[in-house]
Amino acid sequence: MEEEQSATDHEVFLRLFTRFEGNLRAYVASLLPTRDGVDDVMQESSVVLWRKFSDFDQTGVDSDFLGWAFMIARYEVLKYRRRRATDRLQFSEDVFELLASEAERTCTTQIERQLALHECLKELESKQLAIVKAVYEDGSRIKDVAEQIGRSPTGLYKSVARIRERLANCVRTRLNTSAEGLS
Amino acid sequence: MTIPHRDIDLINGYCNGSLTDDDFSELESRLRESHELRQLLIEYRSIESAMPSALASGTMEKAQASATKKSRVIRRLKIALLATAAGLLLMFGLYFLRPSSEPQLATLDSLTGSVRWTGTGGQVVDDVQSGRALTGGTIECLSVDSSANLEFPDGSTVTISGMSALTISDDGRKELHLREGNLSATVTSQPEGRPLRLLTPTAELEVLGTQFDVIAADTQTKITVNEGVVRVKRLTDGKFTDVKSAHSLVATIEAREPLVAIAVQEPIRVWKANLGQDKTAGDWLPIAHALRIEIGREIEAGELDADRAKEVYFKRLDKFEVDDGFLTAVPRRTGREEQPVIYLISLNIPQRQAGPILLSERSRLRVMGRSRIPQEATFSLAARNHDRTVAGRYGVKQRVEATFDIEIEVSELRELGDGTSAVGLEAFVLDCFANEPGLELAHVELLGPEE
Repeated sequence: MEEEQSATDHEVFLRLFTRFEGNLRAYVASLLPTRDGVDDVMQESSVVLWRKFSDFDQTGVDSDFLGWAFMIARYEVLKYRRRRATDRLQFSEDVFELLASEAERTCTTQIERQLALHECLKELESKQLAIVKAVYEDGSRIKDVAEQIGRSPTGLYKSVARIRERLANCVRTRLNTSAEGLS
Repeated sequence: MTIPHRDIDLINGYCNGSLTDDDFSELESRLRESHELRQLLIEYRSIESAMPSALASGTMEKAQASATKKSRVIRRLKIALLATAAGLLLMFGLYFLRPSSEPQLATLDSLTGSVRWTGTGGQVVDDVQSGRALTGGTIECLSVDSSANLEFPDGSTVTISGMSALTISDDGRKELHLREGNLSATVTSQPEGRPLRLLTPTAELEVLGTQFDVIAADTQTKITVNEGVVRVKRLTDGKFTDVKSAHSLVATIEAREPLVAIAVQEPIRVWKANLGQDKTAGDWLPIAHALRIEIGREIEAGELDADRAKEVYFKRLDKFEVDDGFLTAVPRRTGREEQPVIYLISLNIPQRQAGPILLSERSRLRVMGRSRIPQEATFSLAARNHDRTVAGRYGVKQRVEATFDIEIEVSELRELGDGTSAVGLEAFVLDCFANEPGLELAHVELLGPEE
């Protein structure tokens, strides 16, 4: 009986975690500067979420899971920050708190953002798409990518910044359009 | 929303990992003020975090389709369950099955004197040999004539000398902890974003590729940069500055003074120690305390009337400068069987100097102090060539007893190993040690040839 319950818990947990993993990753990424840090915290958070899943009230709506997961991920980010206290690019406490509160609101719409981004990527020129793939698919550092493709790091930083801005504008427009369509 | 270009540049720099510390401080300050900027940062980071899955071919279509087809959801959940289980298994497996052999971080290229190695497993090797492959761990020079030269796979070299302790590790970038002592480093170009990090009790250094020297003690660290640039952060208040070539900087624990690097000046030939400030080994007793103790003993012995104590105290105090006092030798282990403990006083010679101290042929070292028992004391200078390579330790033995005032010709100082002369070299540490306790120094001065 206990095993049956555990198997059900597993399925419910995985359904919720899979559904909201993107939101959670976006939230953690908003609070940490490096992809390695985000991966570490996501791994720790997933383990803690599963361990504590029996404490989570499953009778509510699915979005309750996201609020609960944000809370646990925030705690894991704080633990990570303490471990890496001497790292560069660590936001001070007050800025961290401001970002954490606002990220919770923004990251609830991450699934829609992902869908919009997928469409926006199609609008990029082939050269720009190649840069995006080189930088984001393997998680390589921009400096290393620049070396591989024979460009200066500064030049590639600027290209990536332009692409980032273009994609952000595109995603923002698509999200606004779909929101207007619903109203 | 209208966001200034500069702010957008800062956010992009943050996402690119290319911000300088100054830029980062500016970004933090702007984020405090601007809700729009915080939104932009979160938006950019959210988009970046979604990029890998959005790039994966057809991911979104699958995601949308799966939302409407339960059978696919179940299949995906099963795959996810397996993936999670595999992930957890991998996590624990990696922990328990991690290889017992740690990666080699450096090679002990050469050494002199007594050197100890403690690896990450905690195994202590006292008779460490040159050529040994070093994993993460701590290397210690146990005596004043010890030195150890480490070579890293990228060609960087680090030398510690005198009583020094250095811990090495590599977490994607080289990290060194100099607990105490003297270090000279030639660091080859490090990968951008992963500078070599050197920590001392009072400072944190970030090095991309340069040549520099460090003298570290509990309360202060002196950094002299000979080539390139080193970023130095004072740990007490977090302030940092870039130290350029031919500049030096002292980061103290008190952080009362501005953190400013000063240009290294031409070598000087005379120097007078401020024992209280320059010491890195020894117990400092300010003259006021020393006189109180002295007078107390005289009263106890019946040599002085207690009513006259105050008068005598101020009369004697008048003869001294405010910085005067006594530096008492403290016990230090040597790692040698024949003399396991020595009593040591150590001074950083150029701690407050902008320029190196050049040892001329007719220069003399004047040392005043006292010794509770008659004994032989060794006076030695650590000195190096003008090109900053460590040359060695040069010393001479002198008999000391009661109150002494001695002068030592620099030409008398001989390398403790091969007997070569110190003349023409630049001194950076003075050590005075004896086999028995009770040695105190009150005055140390290098006199020029003409004096």
